[in-house]
Amino acid sequence: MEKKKLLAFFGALFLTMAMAFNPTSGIGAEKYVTYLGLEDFTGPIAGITVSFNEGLRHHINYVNDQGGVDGVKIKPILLDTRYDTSRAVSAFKRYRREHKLVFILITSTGVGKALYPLTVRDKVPIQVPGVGYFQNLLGWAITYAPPYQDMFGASMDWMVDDWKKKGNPGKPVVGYMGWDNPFGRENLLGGREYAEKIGVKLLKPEYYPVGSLKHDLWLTRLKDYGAKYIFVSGTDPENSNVVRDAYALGMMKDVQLISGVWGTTMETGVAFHPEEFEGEVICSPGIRGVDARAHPLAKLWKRYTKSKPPVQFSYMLGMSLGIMFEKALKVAVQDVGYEKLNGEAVYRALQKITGEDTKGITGPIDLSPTSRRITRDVKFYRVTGGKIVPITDWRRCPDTVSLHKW
Amino acid sequence: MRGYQRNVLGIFLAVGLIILHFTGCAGIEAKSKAQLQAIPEKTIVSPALIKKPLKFKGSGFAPKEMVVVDIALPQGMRILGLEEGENTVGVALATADSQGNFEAAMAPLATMQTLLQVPWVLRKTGVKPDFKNAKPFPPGVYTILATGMDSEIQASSNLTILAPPKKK
Repeated sequence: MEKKKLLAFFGALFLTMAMAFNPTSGIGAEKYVTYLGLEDFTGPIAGITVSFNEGLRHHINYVNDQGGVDGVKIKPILLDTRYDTSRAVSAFKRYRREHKLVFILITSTGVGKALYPLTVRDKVPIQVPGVGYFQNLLGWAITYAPPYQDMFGASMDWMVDDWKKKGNPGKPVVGYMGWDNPFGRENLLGGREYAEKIGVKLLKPEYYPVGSLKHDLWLTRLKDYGAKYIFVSGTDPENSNVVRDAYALGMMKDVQLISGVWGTTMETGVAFHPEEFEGEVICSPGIRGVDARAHPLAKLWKRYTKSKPPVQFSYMLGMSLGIMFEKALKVAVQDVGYEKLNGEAVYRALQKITGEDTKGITGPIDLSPTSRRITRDVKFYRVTGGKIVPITDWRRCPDTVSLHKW
Repeated sequence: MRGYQRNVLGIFLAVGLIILHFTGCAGIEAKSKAQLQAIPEKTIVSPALIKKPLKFKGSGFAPKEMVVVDIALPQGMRILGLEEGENTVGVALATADSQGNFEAAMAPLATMQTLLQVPWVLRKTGVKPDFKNAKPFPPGVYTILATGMDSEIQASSNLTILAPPKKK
């Protein structure tokens, strides 16, 4: 009898220990999924990504504070990979076996392309910058803004409308300035073809090194070739220097400057150069400037942090990613239940939230079996009296990705 | 021990071992024949490494797989960008050739941000590296690890960081 008890005791102890050391046992644990973010808070694009991350993190906190999504909480592991691909790959290696890792946000195009085959093998969807390559691929990667080239196409549509509104004949001559790297060149992979399609004369693009302090040479060359509009693809506050130089050259009166998604914000560019930026137009995939500051969810940062106020546009855009994920997670939980919840279920669910809203932060969600664009809409803003104010409602971007031969 | 007692004990042990196996806690890792070497194996950390970077050479990995090289940090060492509890940092990346060999050099950004520990500051002209407040890796012997991202084969070696010569 004693032997029996001893055997039962050791047996139970052995099983308990085995279960206790199992990180996925779920015994006594709450239901949760893991959301991994491989982001860049401290590298060269930190001016926008810190607030972007805060918006996402605060929305996840907010969802968890409300009890999660149908009782399933979200565990955010949001890391600073410092714009360094080797750090990001190493971090992915470290966290790829996390409990119910169902989604990965990646803020660098290079990292997204490097990790894509591995995440597909793991069956975990990823969200990446707006590169047309992933829309064309129609795979496990979705973009967190419309593809850059689509937004450049929408900007050219706006330029044509503005040109006509001013009583000018024909189509305007357009110049393009961008960083001399894949991000700077991305706009033209489809954007160039779209210019041709709508009859806009797009001048030879001017690429400049990241970190350039003077841009007179490239600006002057575009003006001399007859540019009436110049699209500046850069990241605030780096692109501030381009606008500052255009102002110093006296170009702001004759040439309309337009910056892209990561361009001018009220907290950096406009705050640093209010006079120089006056009149600049921004093509934005999310609410910006006065719109972003007035949004009710903009106040969440006060609830979750004591840090200084964020770059409001990035903060709200980050939040829209959290809203999108919340919606997809809800569909996935309803479709397969918690036990079977995995990356594949979230991937399928992402394609079912077509047309859902992000509480007015962006246009409607566009994700579907044939779209990996989070949204297809942009809004145009203008710097007016030291503020960024809307000048259009949401406008649909043209599909320029399909025009390019990938 | 009676027969049924042995059976009960056997069932418990078998179930426990199965659980341990599936939870990855078995602590049994196949020893691979993979090799790793830092080139050079001893170095002084200075901005010169941005132009002439540290390299890594390895063999024994799966053909055509991605290999990531990490530096393991000594206990208590904290570096920018790593969360508490994280004790390895990726420094180089390569794709193995058809024989499973690879060579990887540290990218300028990795050298600057990891070995030199250069922070970034927001200035009016943009986000800029702040070399004045760099905190380079202290001298010592560091373990380096190479991991195959498909095969999960690992190799390790040492990298010695030497103290810079004293200024006269």
